[in-house]
This record gives sequence, C-alpha cells and structure tokens, in this order.
Amino acid sequence: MKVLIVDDSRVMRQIVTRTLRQAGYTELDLVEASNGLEAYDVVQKESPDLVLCDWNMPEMNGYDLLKSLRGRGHEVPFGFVTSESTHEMRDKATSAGALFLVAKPFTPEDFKEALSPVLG
Amino acid sequence: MTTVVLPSPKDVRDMCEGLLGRGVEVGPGEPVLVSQSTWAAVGAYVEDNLSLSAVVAADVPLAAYAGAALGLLPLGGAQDAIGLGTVDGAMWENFAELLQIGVSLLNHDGAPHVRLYQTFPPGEMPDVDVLELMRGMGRRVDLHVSIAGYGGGSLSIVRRI
Repeated sequence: MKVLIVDDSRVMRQIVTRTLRQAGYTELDLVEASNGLEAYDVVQKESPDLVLCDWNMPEMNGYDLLKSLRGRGHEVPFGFVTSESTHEMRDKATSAGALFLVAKPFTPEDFKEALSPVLG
Repeated sequence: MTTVVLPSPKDVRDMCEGLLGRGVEVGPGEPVLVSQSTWAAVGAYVEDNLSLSAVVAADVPLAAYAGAALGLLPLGGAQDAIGLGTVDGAMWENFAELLQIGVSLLNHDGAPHVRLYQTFPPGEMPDVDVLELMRGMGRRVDLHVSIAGYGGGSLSIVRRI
C-alpha cells in the first residue's frame, strides 16, 4: 500500500516514517510532500491509499488540501498528524472528511490505533 | 474572560519525551533573556486575529541540544553550535519544528486558538512586542530542561494576560 506523508518539516516526515515502521507497517510504499499544493499534485500522480498530513504548512495547509481534494471528488483516505488537537480542530477535521487526527507528539500505538482501519 | 493557561513542567516533559524519544527532566529554571549580546531561540504565537498571545524562548544550549536530539544529530555538532553561540542549519530547522509542535501546550478547548506566527533563530532580534512580552508583561513559567544523552538549558514560556 502507498502512503503519502505531507509535512513541511523534513525531520517530522522522518519521524512519521520511523513511527510507521515501529507501528509494524514495514512494507509500505512511502511518498512525501512538503506542503498542500505539492501534495495535491502527488495525489494525482501517485494515487496513494492514505494521506497522512500536517495541518499548518506554507503554500497550502492541510485543511485546505483536504477540502480541495474532496471538492474535486477525490475520496483518498485522509488523516491529520498535527499539533492542532483541540476538540474544535478535531471536529473541523472530521467535518471536512478526515478519518482521524493524531496529535503530535505521537506514539507507535497512536498510529496503530488510527491507521489500522485503513491499513489493517 | 478567558483564563490564560500555562503548561506545567510535566506537560513540557511529556511533550519533549514523546517527540525526542528519550528521557527528559524538567524543573524550575532561570528566565531566558534576549538582547543584542544574549542570544536565544524564540517563537511568537498569535491568536487568529493576529494579536500576540504567547512567546516561547530557549537559550542557545537548549535549542542546540533539542534540535540535535530531534534529528538524531551528533552531540558534538550541538556542542560546536553552543561554542559558537548560535544554532542554524538542520539543528535550527528541527528546533523550529519543536516550537511549532509546542503550540499544543498553548491551545485548550474553549480558549482562543493560538498558532505559531514567527520564529527567530539565535542572533536575530525578535520584534519589540515580542521582547516586551518576554520582559515580564505576561504570566510566565521558567524551566530548566535536560535531555538525556545531550544536555540541558533554559526555557521560558510567557503568555499575554
């Protein structure tokens, strides 16, 4: 399965990659993007099975990316991995079509719980 | 009136340990100062109406150790940065990401949403309003943060009342 990791921080993309591995997802095909605009193009080209996306990013934030995808009929499973973790932001994410929101900092168990409905 | 919430030392420790994947000790510390001659790493946080809400500042040792620890960079690189009195490159990018994630310590249900607006690496003077808030015009917590395998330094979190 292919997972797109979207975060403007290189080290955070590395940490997400490491945490996926620690959560037991060792066979994933991982692709990356550093902002929402770039991610939008990667979704078109790579057709990932899941998008793991930061919320606050330059160019296009994760929330606007999700709205753009859904607005164009893309139903790719989408989850936030973000420091935005209040109930208000979780509700906003869910309303826009996100499957889950994992708050930073996160553990492999957090990833397993959130991702298992999508990745098994 | 909204209550301004400051993170506890335990909140800071839990966040750092979760991010860095190593032991972190947090206790009372000295205020972080910023001037032309005393450099620090600073993050300025605003509410959605762009009004300054909080400042988080770390001295050069903590910014270097934390930035290195997040990216698993060698301890020697952090020590070199401290010797030079500045933090840049990947070490600074990593510490800036910690400032970004630190917003989770400032946001609470029912309170105005806060986001990171600007970061100032050591050697770059923050804006006047940021400096004023750091100099005591808000509620604050001053901590010493020590990262296992790297080292420690000072962290100040100041919120506008």
